[in-house]
Amino acid sequence: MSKQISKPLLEIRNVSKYYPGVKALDDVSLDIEAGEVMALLGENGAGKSTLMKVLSGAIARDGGDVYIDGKSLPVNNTPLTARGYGVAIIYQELSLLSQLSVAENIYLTQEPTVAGKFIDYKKLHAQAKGQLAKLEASHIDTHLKVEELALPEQQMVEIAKALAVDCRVIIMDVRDITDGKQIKGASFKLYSHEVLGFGGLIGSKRTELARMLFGADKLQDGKIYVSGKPVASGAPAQAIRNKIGYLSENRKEEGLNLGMSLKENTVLIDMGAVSKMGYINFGKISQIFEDYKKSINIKGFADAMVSSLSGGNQQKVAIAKWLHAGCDVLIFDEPTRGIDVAAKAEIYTLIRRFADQEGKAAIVISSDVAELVDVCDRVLVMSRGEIVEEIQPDDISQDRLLKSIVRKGGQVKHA
Amino acid sequence: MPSTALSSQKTTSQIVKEQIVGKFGVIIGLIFLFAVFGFLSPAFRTWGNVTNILIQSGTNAVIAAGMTFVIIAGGTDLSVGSTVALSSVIGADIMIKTGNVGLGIIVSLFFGLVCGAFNGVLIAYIGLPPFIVTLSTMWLYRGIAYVLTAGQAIVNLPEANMKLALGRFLGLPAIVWLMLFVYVICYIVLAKLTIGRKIYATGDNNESARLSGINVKGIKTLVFVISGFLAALGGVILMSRLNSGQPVAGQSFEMSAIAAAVIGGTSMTKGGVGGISGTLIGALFISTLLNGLVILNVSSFWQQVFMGVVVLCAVALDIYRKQLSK
Repeated sequence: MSKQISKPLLEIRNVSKYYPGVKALDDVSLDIEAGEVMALLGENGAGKSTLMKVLSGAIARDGGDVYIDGKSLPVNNTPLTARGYGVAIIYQELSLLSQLSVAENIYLTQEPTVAGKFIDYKKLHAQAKGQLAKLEASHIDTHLKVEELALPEQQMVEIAKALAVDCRVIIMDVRDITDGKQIKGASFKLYSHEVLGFGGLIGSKRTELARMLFGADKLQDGKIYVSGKPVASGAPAQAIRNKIGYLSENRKEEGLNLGMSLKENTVLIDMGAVSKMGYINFGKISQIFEDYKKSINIKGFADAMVSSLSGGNQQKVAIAKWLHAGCDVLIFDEPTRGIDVAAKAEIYTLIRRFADQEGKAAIVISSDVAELVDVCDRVLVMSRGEIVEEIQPDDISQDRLLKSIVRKGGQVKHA
Repeated sequence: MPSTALSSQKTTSQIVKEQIVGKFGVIIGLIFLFAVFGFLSPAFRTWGNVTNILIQSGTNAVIAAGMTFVIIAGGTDLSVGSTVALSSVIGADIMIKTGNVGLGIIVSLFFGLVCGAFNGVLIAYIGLPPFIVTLSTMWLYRGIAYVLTAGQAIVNLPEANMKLALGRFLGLPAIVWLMLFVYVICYIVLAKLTIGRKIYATGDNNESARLSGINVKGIKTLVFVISGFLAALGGVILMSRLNSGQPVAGQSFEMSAIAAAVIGGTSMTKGGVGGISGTLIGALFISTLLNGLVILNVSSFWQQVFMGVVVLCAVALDIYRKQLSK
C-alpha cells in the first residue's frame, strides 16, 4: 500500500441510498489509493452490494459524491458511464450471456470492427485469447458458448470481461460459491416452546434444509417426525397439513402475493377457516385481518395491495399469514432482512410469543448474529450442508456464535 | 427520507383515477360507442338491433369467460377456436347418428373438457409454456376436426338443435340467458369462492401461492379445463345458430376472446389482474363496434382496422393502469 500525499484514486463522500423503510447506505465515506486492494466486509444486508452497485451504475445514489481520479461520477450513473470512468465490476452471480461465445462476451459492445459496422471475428477471437492468456486461462476456447463452460471457467471469462475495459477500479463481488451438494445427514430435534436458531455463512445451506423440511424442495433422504410420529412430506400443502410452516426469506418473490390485498394475503393459507363449502365470508376475512392488524401492529388498510406497504409491514403481513395458518412449527427464514429497527424488535416479540404458546415451537434462520442471540434458546451452526455445532442456551453470545460460524465455516471452505 | 408506512398508501384522487382507468373506463367506452352509433344511425338504436348485438356477442362472450380464467391464472389459450371446431363436429356427428340433440351437446361439452385437460396437463404437469402448448393444439385440434370430417360440414342436424338459437324467454333470446347464466356462475367462482382466490394467487405469484399450500398444478389444469369447456359451449351456441357442425368454425376466435378479456381490464402482461364482469363488457364492446360499423356500411376491411386500434388502446390502458398502481 502506497501512502503518499497524492489524491486517492477513488473517493466516496457521504453516499446515501434509501429504500422505502430502510437506509441501505447511511452517509458512507471511504478512500481507495491507487495500487490498493481493499476488502469490504459485513453481514448480509450490511449494504456492501448496494455500495458496489452505486459505484458500477446499477443503481442511483440518493446523496453524496463519488470521485474517480478527482472526476465526479454523475448521480444518474449508468453501467455505461461508470465504465467510461474506468469502473469495472465482476459479479459472482454471472452477468454473461449464455448463448454467446466466450469472445463475444468478453468484448460485448466493444467488438473490433471492419468499416465501423461489421464485427471482425478474427481479431475478436485473437484479442479474447490474449486477454485470457493474461489470466493464465488460455485453455478456454474462445469459440465456445458460455453455457458450454464449467462454472470456474465462466468466472474466468467474467473476470476477463471486466479487465477488457481500460479500467481504473475493479470491484469483485465475491460471495460464497455454492457447490451444488445438498444437505448431508442433518439431524436435530426441536422442542415445544423452543426457539431454535440456525447460524452459518451464506451457502451453509440453512435455507435449503428449511425448504426440504417444508416440502418446498424435494426431501432427498431422511424422515421428519412430529410429536414422535413420522409424517409424510413432499409438498408445502402436505407440510401445512402436518402443521409445519415456512416464512420465506424472499417475501416479495415467494412470501406474499403483492398484487393482492392485505386481508386476502392474511387468510390465503387457510381459506377453509373463512369459508363454508368454498363460499367465502368476506366479513370474516376483514375481521380476522383487523385482529392481526391490532395484535401485531400492521400499518395498512385491509383492502390495500401488499405492494404498497413498507418492508416491515409487508413482513408482518407475511407473518400474520402464517400465524393464521395455525401451524405448530414455524420456520422463520431471515425474518428481519431489510427491515427497520423498530419493526425488528416487534418481530422478535412475535416469534417469542408464538413459541411460548402450548405445543408450539419456532426455528429462526438468520445471518444476523445479534438476532440469533436475542431471540433463540439454542443455536445450531451449519457449514456447507452439515450441522457442525450445537450451542446450548447458557453458552449463547455474539462472540461465541461468531467464532463458531467463522471457524467452522472456514475449516471446510475453499473459496 | 423514508417513510412512515402510510406514506406509500394511495390518495383518494389516485384511487378514483385508477377506478376510471380500470373498471369504469370500458363501461364509459361502451356507452360512448352506443351514443355515437345511435346518433349516426336510427337502425342501430332499435330494440331488435340491441338483441342482435347480444346474440352476436354470445359465442365470443362465453369463450372469453373461459379465457379470462386462463389469463388471470397467468396463461393464455390459443386453442379455443379449434376446440370449438373439434367439439362441435363431434357433437354434430353424434346428433346425426343418434338423432339425440341433448346427447350431442353433452358429448360436445365433454370433448371440450378433454381438449382443455390435455392443454392443462401439458402446461401444469409437464411444465411446457402455455403459448407454445396451445399454439400446437390449435393446429392439432383443428387438424383432427378436418380429418374426422374430411373437411366437410356436418349439416341437416335434427331440428331441435335450433331451439337454443331461436328460443326466447321473457322477451330475451335464449342465447342471452345462457350467456348471463355462464357469467353469473363464473363471477361467483372467481369472486366469491375460495377456488377463485387460488386462481388469482397462482396468477399473481406462482411460487408464493405454492408455498402457501395451494395446489398450483391443479389450479392451472383447472383453468384450462374451464376454458375448454366454455369453448365447447360457445361451439354449441354456434352449432345451433348455423344448424351444422363445421370443421372451419371458430377461426381466430381465440383472438376475439383475448381481445374481450383485455378490453375488459384483464391483464395479459401480469397474471392475477382482472375480472369476469369486465370481460362481458369487453365482449359486448366488440360486437357493438362490429354491429355499428356494419350498419353504417363500413367495409369489413375497415372493421379490422378499428378492432386493431381498440385492442391497442386497451393494452395501452393496461400499461397505464400498472404505472398508476405503482
